[in-house]
Amino acid sequence: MQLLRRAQKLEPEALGQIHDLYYMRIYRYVAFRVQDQHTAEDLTSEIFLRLLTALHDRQGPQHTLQGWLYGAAANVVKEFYRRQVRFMTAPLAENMAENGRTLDDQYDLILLRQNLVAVLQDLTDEQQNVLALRFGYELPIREVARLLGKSEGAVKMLQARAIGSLSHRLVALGVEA
Amino acid sequence: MKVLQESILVDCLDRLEAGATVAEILAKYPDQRDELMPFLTTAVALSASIPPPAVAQTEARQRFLAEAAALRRQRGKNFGAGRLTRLLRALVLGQVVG
Repeated sequence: MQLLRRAQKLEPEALGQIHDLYYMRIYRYVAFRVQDQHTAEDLTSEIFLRLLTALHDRQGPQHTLQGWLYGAAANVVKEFYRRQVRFMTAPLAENMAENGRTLDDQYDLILLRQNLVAVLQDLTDEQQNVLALRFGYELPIREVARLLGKSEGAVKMLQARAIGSLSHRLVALGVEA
Repeated sequence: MKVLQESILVDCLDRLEAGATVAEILAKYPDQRDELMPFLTTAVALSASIPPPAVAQTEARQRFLAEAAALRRQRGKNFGAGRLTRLLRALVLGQVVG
């Protein structure tokens, strides 16, 4: 709350803290929805600029940043898809070099993620959104349920169906997860 | 591939989130092992982070703070202009009334 109050005054330290706290989570949420690294980076920047504009116009978050940022991220992703006449995907894993993995492990992981990216788009919008919130934004089930206005049981079921659907598609593609 | 009961899938995800390993969960459901294996490894793959290049985050932070500085200056100007306008109004009103 204190951080939000300071952000409303556009204090640089508070804004820097907010950027550090939320950038990765917002980026990962967006990356789950748009599947292209550069687009995800651009859209994440746009979300933070919207936060600034809202704070400047005194229309920003009043109580919680997390919920506001999720709402802004969901809107930015929707607008992005509206703007897209044709959706192009690019390998998400281009820069996914992971420390401490063997080259084979890295290759397997990259291959798996590329295939995941390809089949994610086959899921329903609702399923994609739940996965993005859970694995991108890293929200607990309770928070996802609150944001989407669903019961925790319903979110768990949606998540299980989405992952089940993904794994079926990966198996059909011959990808060993 | 057999269709698994959704309650089993939900339970597996709960266990995974609670910190159980894939092997531990598969041991709990030995009869469904073959069907559960791709499900669980997909869930684990989803959990793997997708870090953007560090430079993207750093550059984004710099742009964000530069924009904030510009808005702060604008806010300061607006505030100053507003105060000046109010002061002039008060002076004019004082002249008229006086």
